[in-house]
Amino acid sequence: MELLECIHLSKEFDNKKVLKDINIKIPRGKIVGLLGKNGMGKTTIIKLINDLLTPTSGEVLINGKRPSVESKKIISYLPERTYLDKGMTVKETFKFFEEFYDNFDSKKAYELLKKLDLDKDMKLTKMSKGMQEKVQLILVMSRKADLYILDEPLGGVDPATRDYILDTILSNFNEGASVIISTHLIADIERILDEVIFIDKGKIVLTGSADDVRKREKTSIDEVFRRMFKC
Amino acid sequence: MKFDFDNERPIYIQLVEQLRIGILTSTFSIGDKIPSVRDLAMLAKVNPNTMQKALAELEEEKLIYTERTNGKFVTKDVKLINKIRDNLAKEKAKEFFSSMKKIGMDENETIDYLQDLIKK
Amino acid sequence: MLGKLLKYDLKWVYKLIVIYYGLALVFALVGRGFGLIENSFIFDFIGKFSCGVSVAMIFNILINNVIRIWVRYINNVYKDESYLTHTLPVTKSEIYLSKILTTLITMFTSIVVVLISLVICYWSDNLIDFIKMIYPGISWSVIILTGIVLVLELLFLVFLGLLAITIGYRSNHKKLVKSFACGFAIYMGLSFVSLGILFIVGLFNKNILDLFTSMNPIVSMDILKWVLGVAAIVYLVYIILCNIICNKLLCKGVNVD
Repeated sequence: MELLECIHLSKEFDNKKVLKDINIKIPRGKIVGLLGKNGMGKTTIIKLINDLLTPTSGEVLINGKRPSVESKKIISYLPERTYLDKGMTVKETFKFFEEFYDNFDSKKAYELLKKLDLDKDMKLTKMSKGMQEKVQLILVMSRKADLYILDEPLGGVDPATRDYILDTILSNFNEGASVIISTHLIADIERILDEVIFIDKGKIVLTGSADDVRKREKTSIDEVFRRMFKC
Repeated sequence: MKFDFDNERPIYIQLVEQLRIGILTSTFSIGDKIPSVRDLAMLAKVNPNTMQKALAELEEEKLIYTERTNGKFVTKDVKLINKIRDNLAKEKAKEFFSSMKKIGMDENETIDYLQDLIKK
Repeated sequence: MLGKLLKYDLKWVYKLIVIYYGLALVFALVGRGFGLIENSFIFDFIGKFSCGVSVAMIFNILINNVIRIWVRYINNVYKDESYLTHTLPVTKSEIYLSKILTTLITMFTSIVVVLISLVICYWSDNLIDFIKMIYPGISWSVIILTGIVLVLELLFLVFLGLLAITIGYRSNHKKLVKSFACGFAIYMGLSFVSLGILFIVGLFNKNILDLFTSMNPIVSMDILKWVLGVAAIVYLVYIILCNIICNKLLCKGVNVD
């Protein structure tokens, strides 16, 4: 059984089709890049997987079942916005995750916090957006999940943090788990990808193994992307 | 060892090339245990699956071998290493000669030129 | 999991209103204290003023309690925080049940604080005589029944708000405006339904029917009890219906921005 499967997935808002017949299969043990320009449907797919949107037609299956309490236990999701109660301190957010997720490793979270040089007693309201995003990344990566879904994790971060994010992804990654990374900044991450899925105007336009695409097109994924979307 | 990639070519092929050179230049010495797939992947900052694929390729060339419970080791077959170095040298030499040809030097002229260069 | 959700919901709603609890009680005590000192214009004034502040705090408590429940619901279930709420390993019903319990618990404590503050400020034998003078024939049962109806009406208002938000936020645009419109429409609609129900009850009770037909109906304490009783039951039914519908809608799934 596939870890994640999207079957004929479509989504409309006010009769406007934002996703058209998306079919995706993601097995365990893969790092998958969900690539596309902004506003082409990447986040919509991710929100459908996470039960934040209800499909107009088609379905999302996680381990063969629709989004449910079971799927939420095994998916660790980093959205592109800050979703924490800003009145909390970092320590309190760790406690919150520990209470709700059995697979949250708070020891690891504190280690990562130290590495990123953040103060555990600081309130989120006192933090810059960048710092808040780092806290969220720590929370998400400190869960021992089966599927990590990272929506634009590299947007607007400095190179040091970017390297740190890639390291964290690689060191957390294990054979039983898969990672989906949505981004339009491809050059930075393409070397860690197994598979790529190109999304344009709500449709999948290209999918395959990253090295196969490089071999076939004789150039980088980034370049293929630029040529295809002329950006 | 340090890895360096361009994104134009399949990453696993570049990994194979660089690991191979690592063995030829004794970064990984004859008979030595090589780090785990995970550690190597972290070192090269690539996907462990890709590293796995590269190691499989090297194993096919018999440059490395797997000892069931202990992990992967560099081959003890010096002859094989020399042969592979020889192949690689041949390839590089051919490349060199052909690029010299492009600027108008044939093989004999090139050899003379090289000898002059070394004497200086 | 319900307990954990409830803990964080309660924490958030209480965060501000416990301060008002404290202020209402302190000003009530100060007011009463100064009021006890006889023959002093200044102390009497301070006493009355403090009681006035206490009453202002009482309004603060009730208004803030209701608004914080709604704001928490919007933030937690539909705005940025919803990204976390809906990805926690809990069912939508648990999320909603936690909101119901938060409403019941916080409203209960608020009402208790309000009553205690009022009793501290104004309770005296004179007050009871005064009430008896204005409403001859009033009994404890009528007072308690009135209190129950007021509380149920307040609770109905809160839950109606949650339902209106749930409906308003199902659409893709102008969600808040639609929530208001929807809440208002349902409230008006249900007001007519309530009148209708009272009329139907009137078909079996001539005195209540008189309220509709007679130009000058006699409102006896007996009739008042009847009307209050019907109102209590009607509000209770509305509250239950609101919550059932709201839970159903939420379980169908959300579409957050």
